[in-house]
Parts: sequence; structure tokens; C-alpha cells
Amino acid sequence: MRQLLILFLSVSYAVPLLAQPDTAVLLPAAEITTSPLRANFTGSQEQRWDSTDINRYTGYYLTDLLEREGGIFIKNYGGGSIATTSIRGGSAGHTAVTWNGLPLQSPMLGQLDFSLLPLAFVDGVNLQRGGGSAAWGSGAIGGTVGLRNTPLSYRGMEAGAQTMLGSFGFQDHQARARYRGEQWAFNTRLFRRSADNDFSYRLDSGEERQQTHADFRQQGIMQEVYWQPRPDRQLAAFAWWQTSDRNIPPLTTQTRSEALQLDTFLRTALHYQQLSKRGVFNARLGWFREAIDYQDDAILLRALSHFHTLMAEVEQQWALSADLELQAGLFYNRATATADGYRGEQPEQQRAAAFASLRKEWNALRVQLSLRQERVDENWVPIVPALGANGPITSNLSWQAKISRNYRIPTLNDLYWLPGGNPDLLPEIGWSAEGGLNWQKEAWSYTVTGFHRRIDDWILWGITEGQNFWSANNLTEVWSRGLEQRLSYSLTTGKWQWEGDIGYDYIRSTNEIAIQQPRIAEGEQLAYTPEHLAFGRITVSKDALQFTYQHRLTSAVQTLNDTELPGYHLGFAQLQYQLNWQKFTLQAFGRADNLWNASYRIVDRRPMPGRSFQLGINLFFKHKH
Amino acid sequence: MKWTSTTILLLLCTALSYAQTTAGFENFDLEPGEALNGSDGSGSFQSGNLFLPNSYNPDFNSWAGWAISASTDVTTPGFMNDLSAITGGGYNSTAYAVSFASPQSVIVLQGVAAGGAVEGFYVTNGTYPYLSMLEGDGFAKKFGGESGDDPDFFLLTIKKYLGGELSTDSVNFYLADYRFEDNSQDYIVEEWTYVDLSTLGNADSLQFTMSSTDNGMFGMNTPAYFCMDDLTTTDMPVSTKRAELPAADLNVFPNPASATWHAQWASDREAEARLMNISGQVLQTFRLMPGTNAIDALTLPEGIYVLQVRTADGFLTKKLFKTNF
Repeated sequence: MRQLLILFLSVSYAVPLLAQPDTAVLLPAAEITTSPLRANFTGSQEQRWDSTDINRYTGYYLTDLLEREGGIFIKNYGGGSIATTSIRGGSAGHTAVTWNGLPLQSPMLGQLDFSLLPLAFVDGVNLQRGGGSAAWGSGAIGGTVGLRNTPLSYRGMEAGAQTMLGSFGFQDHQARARYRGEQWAFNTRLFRRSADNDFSYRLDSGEERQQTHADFRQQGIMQEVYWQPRPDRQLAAFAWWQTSDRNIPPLTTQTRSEALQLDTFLRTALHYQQLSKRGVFNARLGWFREAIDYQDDAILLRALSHFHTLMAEVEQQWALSADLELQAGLFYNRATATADGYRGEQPEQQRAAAFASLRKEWNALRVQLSLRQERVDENWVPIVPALGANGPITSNLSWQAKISRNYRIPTLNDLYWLPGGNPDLLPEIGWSAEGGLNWQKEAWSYTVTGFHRRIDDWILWGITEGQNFWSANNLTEVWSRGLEQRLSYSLTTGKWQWEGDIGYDYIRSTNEIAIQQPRIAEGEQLAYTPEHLAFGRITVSKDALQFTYQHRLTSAVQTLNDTELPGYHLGFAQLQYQLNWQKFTLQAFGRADNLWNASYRIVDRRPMPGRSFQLGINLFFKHKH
Repeated sequence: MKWTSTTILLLLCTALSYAQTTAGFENFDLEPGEALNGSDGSGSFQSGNLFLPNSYNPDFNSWAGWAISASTDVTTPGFMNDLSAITGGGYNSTAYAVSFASPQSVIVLQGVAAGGAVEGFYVTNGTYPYLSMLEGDGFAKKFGGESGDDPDFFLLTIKKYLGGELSTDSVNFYLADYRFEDNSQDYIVEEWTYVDLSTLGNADSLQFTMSSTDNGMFGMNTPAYFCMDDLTTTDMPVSTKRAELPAADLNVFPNPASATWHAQWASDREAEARLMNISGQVLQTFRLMPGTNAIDALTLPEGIYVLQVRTADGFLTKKLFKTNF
């Protein structure tokens, strides 16, 4: 039986802890926030970061991690402004984001503002590229980002505080306390961040300008409570409150701006988990309330919107035999929203889904089949399957492949916003296929993955025949394909440790149907979707010192304004010093962002800051019982 | 030779001697600050010999086509102030017309002006596009761009329909022009400025389109509004011009219709009929027979249409409404 457990968890992150189920083991609990069959689909590429990796980015946001280590394109409107993702040529709504297993995307917008996700509030991040709708449902088309919170892995406590100061009035203060006792564990995290963001930028003409009206303040608190009445079961409660108050700077073609945006949310969740000899059971309940208040006094505009969403999910994974695992679950979500654009209506969306997955191994060949069927209000979304496999070729070389069908349901705004909302919209849906090779030898590893994806009924706002206003329609079909490569190497010589990796993504994501309004040509690369992304990173450590340098290249993109933004390359350097004294650890670090002071833009008419510096101190205390 | 010149001169004198009517939009008796955007469901405005279609959507609280305004707000930027002229009033008057010309707007000449020449009109910028071009906004660029050197322009193009055909000739008027080498010559129109339309010749209706140098995937970023006052039309003498037929000659039911309009033609002679959309585009031309004629509405989008009927004796226009309910 113990063998079975180990087998079924062999792909999970919890192996070391569960490998000794007979001792008074601590349940890894949130370490496996979702069953492995879902979190780690056979045949797809996954990148994982744990708290050590995240610690290197202390004071940063999730976007920084994904951009710098994941090689993901982040569409960032400028320091502190909205940031969205594009993975494998997908739109912002094609990245699913889960927090301890529950989807975080706004039902109104279908996407998430990544600028509101401080890394200090998570203990683990994983990035799964490619379609994941069979496991995660709507939106998991380009990729899925999973965020995890975990209790301390040992009995004891940890407390720490951090302060960072930087260019352009940047300040970031964090505090956290984590405790784990016999049955109870608590985590409390606080952060507060602000910046004036009054950076200078250069125009093409050489003129220097200073950014105005770009200051922001963010603050948040997260409380986690874990109760483990028996070693094999755990109840966890999460509450995450955060506000953000940001001024929206003028465009470079605008004299001034008076616009501002306030974001407030409260996300609460309950998570029950029970391990048995044959598997793991998860039940989750989530309730989120989020509000956006956009104001522009200059044009007498105030747009208030908010939504609340209730989610419930149960899933069970069984190890049926040594080489056969099954997982099945049910998901329910009810979302209601209020906005001026709904003209007094309060649209409600009810979603229910069933999903299942089966994984079988034949010697070293592993095959997984998943299915998901979702119903949104009165409509069935077509059933989405995923079939993946991997296996070895030689002792150093292995292969993996996956074919899947994926979808994104229309957002509440697409459906009900007036004017233009279209209640008859169909989900965006399509097939994707990917295949890759992994090679590993001594300190070297190399992976290459090719992908191909077609999404039909892609939703765009446009003017259709016989209409005189913009409306949401299933207008086009998008074909995305590309190649991703990663090479990494690590070396230890005496006291010196070297780690290096380089990556290059080639992404073509083209519109396959010519459209008049919006004006898009057939075969045209999607706006704000770079064709080439490359990065290189080197980390050198010796004793208490660690130095990291990263370099990123992003190729030119088409904007929405009949213009092209040139490509750019950016450097980032960090020097960190760590001092351990008894139970205390002190980290001091200095960073330089945009080290070569590149003048660049990610979004048209939105300047980005030049070189900036940050200095920080992180002091924490660890006590193990 | 002399005889020819005299004849031409005489003919010219005759032409010049036609009476003219100027539509000044004062007939709505608006007080300064007031405006009509069609929210009363009127579907159109009439002033002088002009028929100005308006399409108002109560669900969205938005309008297109034409509005009549006496708004005086010359300082508030943004789309909430889309009914104001940058002059703060009409041309030497209180009221003026505002057009949202996306993708175009149209004025139908009626009565004695139908089929006649149009002299011209006064034009100026709306406060919304004026301030948008001057200072930029969240959607559209400040003219001149980041450096002030971009050769930007905002252009109003006027064409005419005559006999159902759109003219190839047009009159162009720059509401803003930043194409000068010397940036100090760049301008955005902020006074009422006369536009001569006499070169267009006789017209049944006028079509207005706007273009600018600030475009994107979603069309023109510059707000597509302009303001008009004192459009002068020529009153065609009855002998050379068809007179307006009695409205009772044509009865259309149901109106609004969702599938079919039934046009009852109370005459014993066939007439030529044209169904136009609100932009002045001719959708169908057909013979209107004495008695009841069916006009298909099923395939048409919801909105307002104009049915124009012509006989040798004169003409008649009727507004038709298509609804999906």
C-alpha cells in the first residue's frame, strides 16, 4: 500500500514528506493544493518555483518572475499600471490563473491584472504552458499559472520584515509571521508599496520628459489558518484583502491626465483535504468580491464596477493499481456583477463542470487522458479532451506530446455590456498540439517544444454588417504556432556555484480571417504579440554573496494604432548578501532594473522607466521546535 | 459671340436670382446650454429645407447622425461633452447642428431645395474633438504627436447624392492642419468658417465623412464630430423643379415594421421609389404601383430609413422605421 502511495505521488511535490506515512508525518497539505493528475499533466511543459526561488524576487511581482524566469511576454502599461500576459501567442484572457486551485480571472473581463499580485503573498508558483482546459476549464488556452500558499514545513515559527527603497520614490514594506504547532498553523502577511513613478523618458526626437500623474499605492493583508486534527486531513482557511490606488499617467500624446483607478478585493477560501491510502480528496469553497472604481474628473467620468463570485469544487484522486490512477471532480461557479454598462441589470452567470482524468503507465511510457464538460447558464460548452504522453528514448533523452481541446467562455462584459454586449456569443474554442524533447546530461539540460494551436470563434469587438456600433462577436480564427527552447547548465567549483540558462521562443500568432472593422488582415500577427523572445541568465554564488544578471530581448510588435513598436533588450542585475546569526537571517540586496538604460515601450504611447535602482533589507527569524 | 455671352450672362442672372433658404437651426427655440440629441425619439430634425436624420438608442443613451445644440461648454474635454461647439454658440446665433459622422452623416434636401444647388455652410470643431486634438486624451493623440512635428490633419469631406448616385467630386475642409513645416502655422479651427459647396452643383442630399491621421485597428481615433450652422440652399422654381406632393398620397403601414412595410400609393400613376438608409445610401430602387406595394424590411437592420417617391409632378419623402420586435 505504501508503494502505491509513493507511486501515485511520484509526480507530485510531496514525495519526501509522504514517503514515510507511518511516522507522525506532517501533512504536506497545501503543498499539494490540487491532485497531481490535474496540476501536472503528462506531456506538457511545466516550470515550478518554490519559496527559495521566490525569495530571490522579494519585493517583486508575479509578472517579474514570469517575465524573467518564465520568458513570458508581459504587456505592461508602465510602472504600477495594468499588466497582462500573453503565453504562446494567446490573448490576456487565455492565461488561467489559480490561487490554491480556484480560478482568479475576473468574470467581467476574463483576465487578471498581474500588477496586483505581490510575490510575497505566495509560497509557490507553477507555470504550465499550453492548453489546460481539460483540467482548469475556461481560459486555460495559452497557459496556466498556479499560485500556492503553504504552512511552514516544520513545527516552529518564522517571522520577518523587509524594507526596500528605490528610484522614483519607490518604497516597499513587508512583514510576515508563520507559525506551525501540533494541529494548527497560521500565516500572516502584510505589504505596502508605493512609488511616485516620476521617471524621465526620452522621445525619439531626443527630448527628455518627466512622467506625471503616475504615482500609486498598494497595500494588502493575507491570513491563512491551517487546522490538522489528524495527520491525514487538513482544513485551511484563506483571506486576502488588498487595495490599490493608482493615478493613470497621460499618454505621450496627451498633455495631462486626471484619471485614476482604485482596485479593491477580498478573496476568501476554504480548503479541505484528506489523504487516504488510495488517494487524495480535495474540497474547495471560494468567495471573492472585487471592485474597480475608474474616475476621470477631466471628462466627468466615473465608472464603478464590482463582482462577486462563489466557487465550489470537489475532486478525488484514486490510485487504482500501481500503474493506473484516476481523478474526477465537479466544479460550480456563480458570478454576479454590477457596472454602469449593464444599465441597471445585474447579470449572473452560473457554471457547472465535471472533469475526469486517467493516467496509465506501461513500463516507462506514461499516458494520460482527461475530459471536461462544462455548462454555462443554459448552454453546454463542447466537451474538451486532452491526451498526453511521455517516455524515454535513451537514458539522456525523453519525449513528450500532448493534444488537447481548449476554450474560453465569453466574459460578462462581452455578453451584457451595453452597447455592444452580445448574449448569443459562443465560447472561443480550438485544438492544440505540442511535442517536445528533453535532454539531460550531467549539469546540462536542454528542452525543445513545438506547438500548434487554432482557436475558432475568437471574440473581438467590431462593427458587423448592418450595425452602427461596436459589439462583441465571434469574429475570427487565430492560428498560433512556435518553438520554445531552453538550455541550462550548472557548475560548482570549490566555493563557487554557477548557474546559467538561456531561452528562446519563436511565436507566430496570426489572424486567419480578414476583418473590416477592426481592420485586421488575414495572416497578420496579432497586435502586442512579439515573434521573438529570448533571455539569458547567470547566477554566481560564493559563500554569502550571490550575483545574478539577466538579459531579455523582445522583438518588435504591432500596436493598435497602425504603428510598430521597435524591439528592445533589457538588463537586470542583483547582488545579494546573506548573513546568518543564530536564528536570525539578514539579507541585504541591491538591484538595477533596465541596467543599460534602454528607452523602450511595451504599449504604444506608454513610456517605460529607464535605469532604476533598489536597495533592500530582509530580516527574519526562524525557530524550529 | 456677343449673343452667346449675353445669353450666358442672362442665364447666370436667372440662376443667381433664385431665392435661397438658410437653415440656422433657431427654429427649435433652444436656450443657451440646451441641446436635442434625439432622446425624445423624434428620429430626425428639420430646419429650413433640411432633413437631418438622427438615430438615438435609448438603451445605450447614445446618438448618431445629427443633434441640435445651443450648448456653450468650451472647456470640458471628453465624450460626455459631445454636443458643444468650440465657439460656444452658433454663427452669430444661439443654436447650431452637431454631427457624429462615423462612418458618415447625411443631410437630405427637401421641399424646394431638393435637387437644387447648395451654396455653402459654416463649420467649426466640436469642443470634444477640439480639445482632444489640442491636448490628446486616453484614446486619441494630441496633434503634432510627441514631438509636435507630426503632419496631422482632421478632414471633413462633403459629397452629394443626385439621382441616387454619389458624386466623385467632393469638397474638402481641414478642421485641423498640422502639416506645415513651420509648426507655428499649424491650426485647429476654432471659429465658424464658411465652406463653399457651389462646386458640387445640384444635389438631393449631402454626405459628410471624416478622416484624420490618427488611426488604428478600430478606425479613426480622433472623435468624428463637427458642428454646422447656416447651411444655405437654393429654392428651385417650380417650373424647373419637382414640387412636394401631398403627404396623404403615400401611406405606409405598419410603421415601424419588422418584416414588411405596406406602402399605399394613392395615385393612378406609377412612381419611382428609392429606399435609403440613414446615411443616404440607396438600398433599393423600385416602381411604386398604384395601390398597395410591399417593401421588404426583414433583411434590414433595425433603424430609420427614408423612402423617396418621385413622379413627373413632384416628390415625397417618408421616414420608415424598422424594428426587430
